[in-house]
Amino acid sequence: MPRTLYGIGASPGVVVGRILVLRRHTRRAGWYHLPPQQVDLEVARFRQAAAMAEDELVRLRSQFAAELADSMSIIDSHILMIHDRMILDCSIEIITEQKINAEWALAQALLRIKKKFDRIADPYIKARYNDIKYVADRVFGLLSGRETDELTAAGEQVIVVAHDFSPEEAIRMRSENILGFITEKGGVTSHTAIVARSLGIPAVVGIEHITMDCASGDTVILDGISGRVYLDPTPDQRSRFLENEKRQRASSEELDFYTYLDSETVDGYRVRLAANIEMLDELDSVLRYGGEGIGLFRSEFDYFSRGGEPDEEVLLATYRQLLETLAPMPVTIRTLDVGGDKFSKYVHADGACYDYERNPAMGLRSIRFSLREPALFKTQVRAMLRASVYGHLRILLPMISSLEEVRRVKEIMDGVRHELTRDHVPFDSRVEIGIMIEVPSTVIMADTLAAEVDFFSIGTNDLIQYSLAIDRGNEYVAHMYEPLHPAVLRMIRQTVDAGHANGIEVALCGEMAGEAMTAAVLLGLGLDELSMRPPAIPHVKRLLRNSCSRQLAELGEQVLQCRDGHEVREFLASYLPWFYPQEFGEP
Amino acid sequence: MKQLEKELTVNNPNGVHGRVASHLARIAGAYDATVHIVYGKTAIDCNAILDVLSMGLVYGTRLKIRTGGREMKKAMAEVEQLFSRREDP
Repeated sequence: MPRTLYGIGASPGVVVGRILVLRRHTRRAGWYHLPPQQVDLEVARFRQAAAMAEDELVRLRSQFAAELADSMSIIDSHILMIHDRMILDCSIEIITEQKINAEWALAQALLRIKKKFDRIADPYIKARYNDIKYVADRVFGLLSGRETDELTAAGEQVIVVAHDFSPEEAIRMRSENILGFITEKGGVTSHTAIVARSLGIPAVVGIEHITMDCASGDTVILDGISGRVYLDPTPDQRSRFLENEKRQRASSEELDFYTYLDSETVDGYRVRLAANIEMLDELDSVLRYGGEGIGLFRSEFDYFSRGGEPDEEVLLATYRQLLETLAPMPVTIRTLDVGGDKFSKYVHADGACYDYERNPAMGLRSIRFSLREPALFKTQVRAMLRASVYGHLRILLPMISSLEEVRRVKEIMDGVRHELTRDHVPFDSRVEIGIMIEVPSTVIMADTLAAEVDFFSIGTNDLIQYSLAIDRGNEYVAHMYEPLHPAVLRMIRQTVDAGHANGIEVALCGEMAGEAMTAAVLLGLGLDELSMRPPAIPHVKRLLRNSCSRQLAELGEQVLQCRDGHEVREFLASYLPWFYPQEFGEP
Repeated sequence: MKQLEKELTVNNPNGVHGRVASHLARIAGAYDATVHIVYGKTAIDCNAILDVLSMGLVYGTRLKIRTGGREMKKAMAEVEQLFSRREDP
């Protein structure tokens, strides 16, 4: 039966193929007592297995040499682990003291290590226990005499499915015909993800129970971008997918044509399509894809690229180039949007350093950090205002959650303006100040906030995370991250209405703006600007140019009536192909 | 025996994870020197990767590095460089 499974896209690319399920048998180590004369032999047997496991890793390492540097250093650490006294010496000690078999001793040693790692709070380091298990598993395998390589049996090209892969397994698969990887465990930083990306093979991770849900030989479509896996696709889905592929390839040339056309509907309703960027190198692509300004410039790069706090002149140079290149189009620069923990090294307002936070998403970050470090923030504001004479500047404040914060920022800005005036430094007095709408409280208070600022920009990535209480990086709940959740759509609408009632523009920047299906919905919700990664701009422009304003408004009304994300998707699946056969296939 | 000691901060955003720990062990092996991490009450030999990992040294942790032996200066210099970097080795 066709089914869609939701995971985390870990390595981009879309493939269709048959799957090969690898089941890792949890090796249960049997226990048996050794007669005294056997103990030394058992120790020797264990040492031999460990040495063989090491040889294997060394061989694997030399086979794949320098081209996969990331993965190689993982193998290096595995080689060291085999030697580690907690594994080697400890197991041998248990064998000799308790006079028991090597498998059982290794399992005991492993248990002790696990206890140590269980005490570690940091999830990333804690997860290294998995590496230790891989290493131990190899030794287990050699002790019990297996070493059949299930993978080499696969003659045809397959998508490999497993609970998890060790980096060694994943690398070895390169020599096989592997179309893609799917795993139950892991996030975007898991080894499977790192190796898959370095091999350029599409991968989806974090689909629970998939090894139970499907069998070798089943056909799936794997989408490493959205993190979706379509199990047993219908012939129809399959051909649509293949067609989609072909169309996407063919349409990129056709889309060039849209670069220089206005972004408006057939009846002249305009939506500004802008770009999200974070580096000056990307300015070229903004122009090449026909961006009408920058809806989101992430200003963090200057703060981290040289390992120290940038001075005003450095920031000024960046902002000036942005503004001059795009003038007279608007450029929206977001003030520093990072957590305080990123600054432990060089910024101390009161001598204290910022500690590791248990819950950084809700901690000291973004505008909260800027307000706590006024000197740092003032430098950024000064650089922005000084740059404002070179083009059309809009300043965007991230993670605002209350009116109080807006007022405090304005006070600081007024102070900076005053200084500049006093020192006869020119700046544009009409610079617009806007806020990100990404914390649910600001949606609810949007009518009040709209009176205080010049524009809103909805940051959907965080707004979805905060309002649905979903951490996308968490494999157990990532599937519940639903941009088309009616709660999200209604919040967007409410923000648009509040902004327009007060005569200010409402923009949206976030992944939603750059994907055809969600972008179509957003165009229907009345936003004034959508900002996205530059290559997505021509796609969305084509959607807009093939629409008329009444039909878009109707689309917006319809989705707001839906009761859950599933209904929204069903509705769109039947509706969009009628109006946009080019993007969504003939109905 | 003469020893060097320096206080350092973990700058890798992911903390001292597998690749960082294995690089430490490599430094300890490459020179005629002993390399210890002193953190809290314990001093850990950097050759023991699992001991190093199980300390759970996260980003921003301050710790001491102690080196000894003929090439303790060279070893210390390389450890310092490793800890100052944000990127994985």
